[in-house]
Amino acid sequence: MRPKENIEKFVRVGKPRVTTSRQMDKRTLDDSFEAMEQTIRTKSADHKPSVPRIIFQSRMIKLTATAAVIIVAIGLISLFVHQGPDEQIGYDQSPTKMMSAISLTMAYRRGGIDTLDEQCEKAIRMLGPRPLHLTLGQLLSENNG
Amino acid sequence: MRKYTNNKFMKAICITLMLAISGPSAFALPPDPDNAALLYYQAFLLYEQPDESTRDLLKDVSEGKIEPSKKIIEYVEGCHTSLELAMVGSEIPMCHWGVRFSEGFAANLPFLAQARFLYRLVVADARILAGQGAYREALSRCLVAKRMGQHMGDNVLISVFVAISIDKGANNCIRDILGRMPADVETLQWLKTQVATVPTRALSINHALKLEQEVALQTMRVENIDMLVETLTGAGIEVSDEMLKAVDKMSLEKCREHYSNHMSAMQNVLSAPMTYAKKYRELEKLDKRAKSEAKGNTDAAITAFLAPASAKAYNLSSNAHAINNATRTAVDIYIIKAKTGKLPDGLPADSPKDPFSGKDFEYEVTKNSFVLHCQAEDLEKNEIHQYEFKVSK
Repeated sequence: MRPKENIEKFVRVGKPRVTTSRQMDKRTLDDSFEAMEQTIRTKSADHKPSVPRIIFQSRMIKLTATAAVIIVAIGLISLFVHQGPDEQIGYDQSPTKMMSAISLTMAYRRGGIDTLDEQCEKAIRMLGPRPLHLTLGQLLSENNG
Repeated sequence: MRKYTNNKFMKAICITLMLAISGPSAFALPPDPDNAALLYYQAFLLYEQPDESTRDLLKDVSEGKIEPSKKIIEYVEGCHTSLELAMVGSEIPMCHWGVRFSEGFAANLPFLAQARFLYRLVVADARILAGQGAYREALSRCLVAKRMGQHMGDNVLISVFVAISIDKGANNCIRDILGRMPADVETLQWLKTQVATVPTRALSINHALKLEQEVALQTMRVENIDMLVETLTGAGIEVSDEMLKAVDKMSLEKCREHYSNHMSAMQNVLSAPMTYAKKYRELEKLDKRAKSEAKGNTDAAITAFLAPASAKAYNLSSNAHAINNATRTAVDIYIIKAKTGKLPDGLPADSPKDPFSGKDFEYEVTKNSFVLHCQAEDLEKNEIHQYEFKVSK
């Protein structure tokens, strides 16, 4: 089987199961390019490249780069699909972020109204206390000393 | 001479009239707000921040799990300014929370969190008042909570869910109060009218879906990629630069198309005249299809993430509808009991229907209560709901 077919088969077969992290994507790209450069350096030291070899290498570079991009894209899509709303997400956000429509929606999807309440209460606590009474009279007396 | 005098007299009258007209308007006070949200926001600012244990106790009291203690009664009394603002706010028909929908799903909805607390305060007050025998005032607080629920609005699905939850809590409180208050035809007739006149425009899931669809479609554009990233990170998903490079106009366009078709199909089912069971099954099919398509079709990935579980949302709304109808039916039964001294043998004519079956509730009289049974199963929970109403002797 030719390399191109190999890559296509890999992408087709492995697509739904690929889950990559940010670090993994970066490592894949770095490794691919490093391997390519090393191959070119080693080969070029031993042999003078022929025309078919140059063409082959250029094809390989393109194919490898394409594969890398596809893997990253699949990584993104897999994240959308697999790291969905059902996963537990920590409250490491700011209280304002915790009050966003998406954050509240996700809290509700995770555990209904109780989880939403939990998130809301956490945010309110982080936002801090408020005055018990604040009348116009109080403000005036404070301003007047 | 006479003419001169007349002119002078007319001038004096004119000046007096002008002063009379212009005087009050020059010193008129600005009108009170005509937007309920402005009063609720003030209420949110002016209640005493409770400590952890008070907050937990308040929750339990509002849910009827425990009787109000001295500590809670004092705490609720201390929040009277917020309670008053909530009462006045709930009477105002218009309620605009000022949400910046241009921010997409990253728009902040802080009022939802605060409203949940204010609702607990109102319902706890209702239970305290009922405990003191002030049943009409107690029921009045429950109606405040119901109107507050309506004011959450149906612009986004999450606000509909909060509204439903508030309404359910208010109905539960009404049910408990009805079960302990002595027969009082006048109060019950008043409650019947009040329940009927709480804004009747049911909060619509379909309306929320339409607006959410618009927001999502705006977000799924290359020029709004920052907004999409904000949405994803808000949901706890880490988006790297490499991932972003892999997203182009073409791929987002395909995602938009898939999402749009899915949401339209959902809305068509929701607005179609179908039985509960048929509608639930159709929506369930759509939800399952969105999930399974996301596994093999990259265009469906964002749909699976952003589209809500429509069958679940519809079920929640049907549940709320059932509790409301049961409460309205029960009030009619309590009125008959108050007038005749005994529970009726059957349901009053034209009673609201059980939305699960589309039929009347099944009515059963027990030793100390009556029960309204739904006549078809809640397909999500696989159970038939029933609502018990205690009867005081």
